[in-house]
Amino acid sequence: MDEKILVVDDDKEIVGAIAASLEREGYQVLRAYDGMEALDKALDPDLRLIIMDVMMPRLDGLSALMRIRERRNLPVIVLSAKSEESDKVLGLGMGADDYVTKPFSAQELTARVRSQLRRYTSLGDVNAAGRGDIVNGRLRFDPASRELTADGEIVRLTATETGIVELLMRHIGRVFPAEEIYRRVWGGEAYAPEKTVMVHIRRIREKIELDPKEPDYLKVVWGIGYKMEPHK
Amino acid sequence: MAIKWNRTNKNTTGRMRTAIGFLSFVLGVSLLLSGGAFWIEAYRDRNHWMSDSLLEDYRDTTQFRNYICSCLRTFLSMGAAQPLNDYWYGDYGYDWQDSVLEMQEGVAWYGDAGIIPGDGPMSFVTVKRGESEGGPQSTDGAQPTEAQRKDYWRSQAKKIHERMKEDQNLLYRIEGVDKYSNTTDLFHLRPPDGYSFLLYFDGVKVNVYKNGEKIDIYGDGYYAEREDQWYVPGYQNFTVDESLKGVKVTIAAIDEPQLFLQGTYGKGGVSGEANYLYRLRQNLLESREQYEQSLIWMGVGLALVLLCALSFWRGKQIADVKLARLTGKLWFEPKVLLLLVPLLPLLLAVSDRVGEAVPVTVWGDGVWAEAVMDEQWWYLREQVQELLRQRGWLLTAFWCLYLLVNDLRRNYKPWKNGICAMLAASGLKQPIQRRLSRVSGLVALALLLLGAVNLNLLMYAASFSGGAPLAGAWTVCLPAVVLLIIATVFLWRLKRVWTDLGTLTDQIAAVRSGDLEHPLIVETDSDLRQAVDDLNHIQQGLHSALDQQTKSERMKVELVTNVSHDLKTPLTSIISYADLLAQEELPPQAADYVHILQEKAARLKAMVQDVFDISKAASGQLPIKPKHLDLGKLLRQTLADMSQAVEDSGLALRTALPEDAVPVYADGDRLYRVFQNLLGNALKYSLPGTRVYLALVTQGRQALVTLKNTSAAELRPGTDYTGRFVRGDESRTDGGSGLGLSIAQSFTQACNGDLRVETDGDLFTVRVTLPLDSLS
Repeated sequence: MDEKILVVDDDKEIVGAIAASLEREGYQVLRAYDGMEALDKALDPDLRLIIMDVMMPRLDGLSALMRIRERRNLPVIVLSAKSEESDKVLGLGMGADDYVTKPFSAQELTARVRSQLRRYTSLGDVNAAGRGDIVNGRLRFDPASRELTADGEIVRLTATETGIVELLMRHIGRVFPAEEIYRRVWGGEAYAPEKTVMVHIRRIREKIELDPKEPDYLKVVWGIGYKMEPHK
Repeated sequence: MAIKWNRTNKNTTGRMRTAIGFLSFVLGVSLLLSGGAFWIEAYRDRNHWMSDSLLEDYRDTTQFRNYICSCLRTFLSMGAAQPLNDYWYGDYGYDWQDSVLEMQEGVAWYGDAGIIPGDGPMSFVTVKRGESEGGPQSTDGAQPTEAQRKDYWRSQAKKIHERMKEDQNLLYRIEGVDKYSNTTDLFHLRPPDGYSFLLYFDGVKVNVYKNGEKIDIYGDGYYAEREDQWYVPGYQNFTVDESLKGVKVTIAAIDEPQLFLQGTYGKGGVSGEANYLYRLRQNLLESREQYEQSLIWMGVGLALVLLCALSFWRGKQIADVKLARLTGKLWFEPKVLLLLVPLLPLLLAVSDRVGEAVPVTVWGDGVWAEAVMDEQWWYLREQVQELLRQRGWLLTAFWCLYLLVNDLRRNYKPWKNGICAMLAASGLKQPIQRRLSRVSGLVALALLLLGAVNLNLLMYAASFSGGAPLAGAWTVCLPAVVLLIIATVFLWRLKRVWTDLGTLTDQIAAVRSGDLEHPLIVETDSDLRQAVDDLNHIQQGLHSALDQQTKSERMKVELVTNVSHDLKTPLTSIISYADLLAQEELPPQAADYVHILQEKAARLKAMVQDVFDISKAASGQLPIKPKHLDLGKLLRQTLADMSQAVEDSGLALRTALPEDAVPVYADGDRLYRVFQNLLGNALKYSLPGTRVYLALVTQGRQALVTLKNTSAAELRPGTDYTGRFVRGDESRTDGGSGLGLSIAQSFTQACNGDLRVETDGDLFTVRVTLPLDSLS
């Protein structure tokens, strides 16, 4: 693969670790250690993705991100030690495509990189999908064939899982209590629907989420129910 | 300096405006009122002064007419040698008296020139009742002869003639059986110069000439007892009787009356009683002057009131407020009593009924005693009517009422400062305040009674004429008055004490509940000054101590946040390289080591996140996004989420969760974390093979979650398990950070709930209470 990825962090060991993980996956890695350097390296025409820390000397990550975005439309994953919700919102609002908080595991980061690259390169425009498809971020559901694709790859789901996904994808953002999910997917009443529904949701998560322990899409609303988180 | 000057100037002007406004109002209203009182008096007297005094010539007045009429009557009797008795009023029970002289006495208030004590006109001519009808009765009771009676009547007539002849204001000539005249140049139809009024009785009719022209006095010829009619014979229905026929009388009245006095020093005085016309005219002039003056003063009063209303109304209102502030300091009940006393007579005047309603109290001798004891309310009413005519009373009553109304209008609930209010002690929170207030109320009541008794005594003393009893009363009253003053001052002071006590107690409560910003300020001479100062110092000390603590707390949180940030970066490297290592082909032993590295790195990651969370929660910076949710559902979801862990633990979980919703208003993410931690704890630290109990019940307005498990390690009593870095096992070899319960507690509290840990032997119980959602 000749896809180049730019990794920017003022901590050389972190850059090294990320680079090692990515090279293991077959990507070419460009390294930069501050914002200004990142601006230079970002000119490489083969560059496909940028992983960038927020807190850096000379030029911080978010400012560098804005400058790069002026010239090129590349997916950017932001790294930060801050895990506050407001920081995430700020980062995504500034144009980042994903946000990973430190400390992270190499698997998680590479999974996110893979996801971003698929959406950006092989699929190109996700909106070119078939008519009537329901699109939510990385996910796309085709109601006709009842097929779910994540980053363009078909996700193999059981009949029950498909039922749950269809219900939630058709009502993105709406919270369904476990009883209602059970009634609409299984049909009939259950004694303890939470447990049954939860087991299936966990399985779906393992198939569609980048980090099943920190789900981005299939979320629990504690004390109320479950929902599909809307994404752009 | 200039600014200060200006300000002082402005203040002075404002004060001036206030003073001018109020003074002009008071003066103006007072003048109007006393003018009104004068006119009421003038009206009530029902004399002819008002209409008469407006006439230019005194001889056009009713009084002049009446006088001339009675003169004519007397002169006719004199001329016919008949008794001077007045029988014309006999039907109405009119007592026998010489009407001419009676009128003279009645009008003699002007100058008192004619009335000499001991030699009064009444003693001169009044005939005692027993001597009526015909002069003296003989001692043996036989009727006097006709000649005797004539002699007596003649002597009476002579006496009158003696008295009247000196008065040259009224010239008369009587021609009948007897002849009398006080002048030589008075002839029929030809009065002397300066006497332009002439009355001539020709024996049947009266002819009146003024300035030589005849005046028709009979009108339609019938007498109807009208005020404007001449009360003289000659009407169709009012003729002269036989005995007087043939008596001719001529009377002339002077244009400009003068005083005619004759020194009768031999008799011990000056006789001048008969100058009736002179006094009549002077009285008229005088009253005319009075009316004019009254009108002028009323006009001045009106102008003052208008001035006040138009230009100084604001100043007057300020003065009202200041006045109200003054009166507001007095106790309400005595104030109302004092201010209403002048109005009391008005009530009595209205009706007998009201008078009867007034408790019968003997106020000592005098008006009250007489009226009240004899139940002669008419007498009291007379007194009241007399009172109404007095300007002093009217003004006093009005201004008292004004003060009262002003007090009620401008002071907020003025009865709050009174004896009843003190007795009721309403609005006072502290028992000591209530007690002080009640005692003060009782004392004030006693003072009021003492004051009343004193006043009664003084009134009693004042009802005697002469000053001696008054002085005596003062001697008796003096100690009581001194006592009154001292007690009043004392009570006033005492009230301040309990008011200050109240504010002090309130302040203590405020400090207790956390108000460290506002010190208590009392007046410098307050009795509780020292205590207040001490409290303020304590408050200040607490405030600065708390400031210090908050500051160090904040620094600690900042430190923890920074440290956890700084830990995250190297931790990222550790985790990443451990992951990379794990993917390498390694000897089996090394692979185990890498596995341990990964595990411990993950635990370190969890601990860093926990430390970060706890520091946020402890500093109160934890963002909370509450929602209406079902606690039962949240617990079931949590259990479902952790079902794998429960199964792996080998413990039996017994749950008792209600089917019905248990609504709470809380942050679901935080509560999930709470129960995740609690369940995680229970699974981690329970004795293998034992049961864990989870129950949710509602108690009143609260939801209670209970989690019980049997601890594997021995529980040390007295350990605060919710403390930070506290754990059951001191050796710290288990996988926990020691922050789980602490975080659970912090998060519960952030959701307005409470978390308690109880231990009983090996039984470890956690109780989480959350307020039920009030919306559902």
